[in-house]
Amino acid sequence: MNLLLRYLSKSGLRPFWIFLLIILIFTCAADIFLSLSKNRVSDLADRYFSQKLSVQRSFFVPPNLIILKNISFSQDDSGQPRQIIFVPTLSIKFSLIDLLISRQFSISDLEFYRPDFDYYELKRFLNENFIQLVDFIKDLPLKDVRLKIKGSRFKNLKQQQNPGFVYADFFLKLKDEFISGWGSVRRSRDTIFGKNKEEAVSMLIGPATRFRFKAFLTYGGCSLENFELMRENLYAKLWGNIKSSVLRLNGFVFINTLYKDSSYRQPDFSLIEKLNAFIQRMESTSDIVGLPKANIFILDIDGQLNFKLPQLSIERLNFSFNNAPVCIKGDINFSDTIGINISASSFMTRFKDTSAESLRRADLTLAGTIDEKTLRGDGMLDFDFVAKKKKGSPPLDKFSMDFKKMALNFEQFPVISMELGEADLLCSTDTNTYRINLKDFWAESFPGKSKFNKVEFGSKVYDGTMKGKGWIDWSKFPPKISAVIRVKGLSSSRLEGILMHFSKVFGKLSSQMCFVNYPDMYLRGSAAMQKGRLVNFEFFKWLSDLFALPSLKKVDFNKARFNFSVDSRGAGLSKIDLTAPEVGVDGYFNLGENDMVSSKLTLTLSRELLKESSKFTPLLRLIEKDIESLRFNFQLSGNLHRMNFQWLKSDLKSQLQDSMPHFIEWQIEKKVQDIIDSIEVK
Amino acid sequence: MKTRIFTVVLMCILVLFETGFCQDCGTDYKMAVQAAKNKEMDLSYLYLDSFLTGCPGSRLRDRVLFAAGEYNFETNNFRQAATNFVELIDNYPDFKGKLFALVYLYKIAESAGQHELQEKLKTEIVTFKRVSLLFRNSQKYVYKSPLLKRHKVEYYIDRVEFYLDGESFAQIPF
Repeated sequence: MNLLLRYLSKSGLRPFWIFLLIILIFTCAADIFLSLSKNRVSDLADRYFSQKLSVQRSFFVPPNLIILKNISFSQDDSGQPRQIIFVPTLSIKFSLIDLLISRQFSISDLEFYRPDFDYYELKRFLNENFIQLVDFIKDLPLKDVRLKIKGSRFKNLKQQQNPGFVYADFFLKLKDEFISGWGSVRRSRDTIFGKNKEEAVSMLIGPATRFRFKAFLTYGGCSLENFELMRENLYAKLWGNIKSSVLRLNGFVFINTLYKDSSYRQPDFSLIEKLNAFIQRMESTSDIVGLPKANIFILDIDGQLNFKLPQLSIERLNFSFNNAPVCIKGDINFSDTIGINISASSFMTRFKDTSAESLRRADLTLAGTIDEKTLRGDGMLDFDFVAKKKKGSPPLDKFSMDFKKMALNFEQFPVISMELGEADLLCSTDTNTYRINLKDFWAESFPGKSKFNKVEFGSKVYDGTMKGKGWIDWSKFPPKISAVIRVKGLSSSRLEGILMHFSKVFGKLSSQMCFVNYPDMYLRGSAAMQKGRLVNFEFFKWLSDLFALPSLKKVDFNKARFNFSVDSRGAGLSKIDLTAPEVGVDGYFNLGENDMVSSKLTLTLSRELLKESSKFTPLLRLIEKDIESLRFNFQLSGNLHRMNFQWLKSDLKSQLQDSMPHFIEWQIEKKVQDIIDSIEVK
Repeated sequence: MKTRIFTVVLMCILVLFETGFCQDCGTDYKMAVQAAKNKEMDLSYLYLDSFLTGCPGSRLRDRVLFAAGEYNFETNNFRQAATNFVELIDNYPDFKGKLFALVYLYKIAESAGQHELQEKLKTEIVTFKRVSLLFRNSQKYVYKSPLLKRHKVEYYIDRVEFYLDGESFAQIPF
């Protein structure tokens, strides 16, 4: 030891060693001071929050770096501590000049390495302590500061299925009145591999979402010069200012909804692993379409938002959505569960050469809550169509849906599910109004392999059930929709809201139909009924009154089938087949533009039935006795409410014409015409 | 006495004026028909025009309006023809030749490219008469105008056919 001291004192390095010694002593002293004042940090936090802040170890690294290890911030209200944030390493750089000259401790750099956040606990903490947190940050010895959060990990422990993380990096620079920052966010999900499910691997989903911003502080607020949000399928640029509690915002957004996120393994730290991951990612995303093929354009954003925490008032949020102007107003309440009360309107007359061309206005009102990833509420959706339509456009005037107990769930995103406790659908055309009530409606949307989204849905329809599958193509706006729907066990008389005539049809109806909205909108399908009854059905009632056939007022039938179609040219029933013991009807009935009818029907009436009326006695005398039923083929045309009819050529008609003189034909013709004219006059 | 003489003279003037007026209207109409018989359509129109100007309340006005419209249509004066037919349809809904006035308006709308109006007129024409065809294939109606043109319509189950002096004038399918 003596030798060493002698050597040191003799050598020319004495000042250096003295300096090193001082540094060593200073470091040790600072370390001792820091370890003693660990509790002070906790005490400082205690002043603002009820949660517990603890620091396991702290070091001082000369000349101006403090490292804190294993910092934990946890909730401890029920005896079981729940960790909100855990930071393995926090490095704090302070200004040595300020300390030496002004004797003031001011932080210049804050770096968090790989902090862990419990998303649910953090959200709860922010909801409960937002004001305190702002006060705490204000009291921190910050001047010009750089904040870096690297490799932060958010986990929602409440989510049991497919647990996943959100990784985020954040960098903030505050110098004088200028603020700038950038960062990125990406998602991952644990996927289990292996036959025996032995290996759980964290898979990154899609590319990171990057952001950067620049702002400068102004008197009483902040001016946001530029905020950019970037991803392979998204670009958003916003600017504006905040004054007191009011945020004014302008900007635009481009989105490509066709882009599909692909999963790839999180790269290890080795270069080879990173390269492999990069190649995998490139291969898996080679078929994607990037931002140049954006299909959603949100332009001319002009908004005014008022923060009256915990409430946010959207005083005005106007923008054009794919050239359709949209206005949103309402309130959002950031309490334990987020409450929303908004109304949105869109004027759509600018859509040209699309199937939505005749859409004039769309309105949505919604009042509800957002709890975790579920939007619940009641509301109303209205579509108004232009009165003056182009030829070939659907004859719709209005479509509205009044829904209650809606639950829109994003828990399994990208699978989206929706439930509606009750939905009243109303659709009105130039001439009619159609209503239908759905209960316990559910729908699930699955992302498809290509640009299609698959949707499965079902509901109770009165006493029956409805189930269906649909495909939505988002490559165009409005989206192309095609769907297949099946209805079972529905009492047809309950459908009087759709067509008044259904109120006179009794029996269980089952149907399958197909709906397509592009290139032309149509609904086609078939319906069938077994063992039903027609009571005072308009057509049979008319025949009954005209020819004194009372049995036609109540017709029990064994089966009734028909195909139906509704498209821009009109509505129609084809392959009508009604079979009853005494009556039969087959043929088609089409209703076109301006309620113009085009129909050919064959009516079969049994000899027994015709015997009821004395008017048919001469007719029955003329035809052969072995014929059990008579078939009348006739054609209908003209306006629905003033139909023309013609008795078409048939063996029966020829037989009759052969057996009666022309003047009788003329007399019968005149009598029928007189009856029709008398109905007209009434 | 003076008052009585004054009243009688005034009544005579009024009666004479009215009689003269009516005689003019009747004459105008007769002369128009006569001119049409002689195939002098322009002359016929002069009488019709004189009638329309001078006889606002005449019971023959509906026929004259139709004939004037018919003449204007033939001379391609569609605007005036449309005015005549619209006045006819508005003021004389039970006029015997109303259906033919509608078809003239239909043709005018067609030539003017007014498709929306044409569609409305088509609906009017198609629903004008409700027909039942038991043993016949069509129902026929005929109207002879003051210009002595024979207008015929045939209602089939899926179309209406119009003929003017035996020649096809319009066919409206539905």
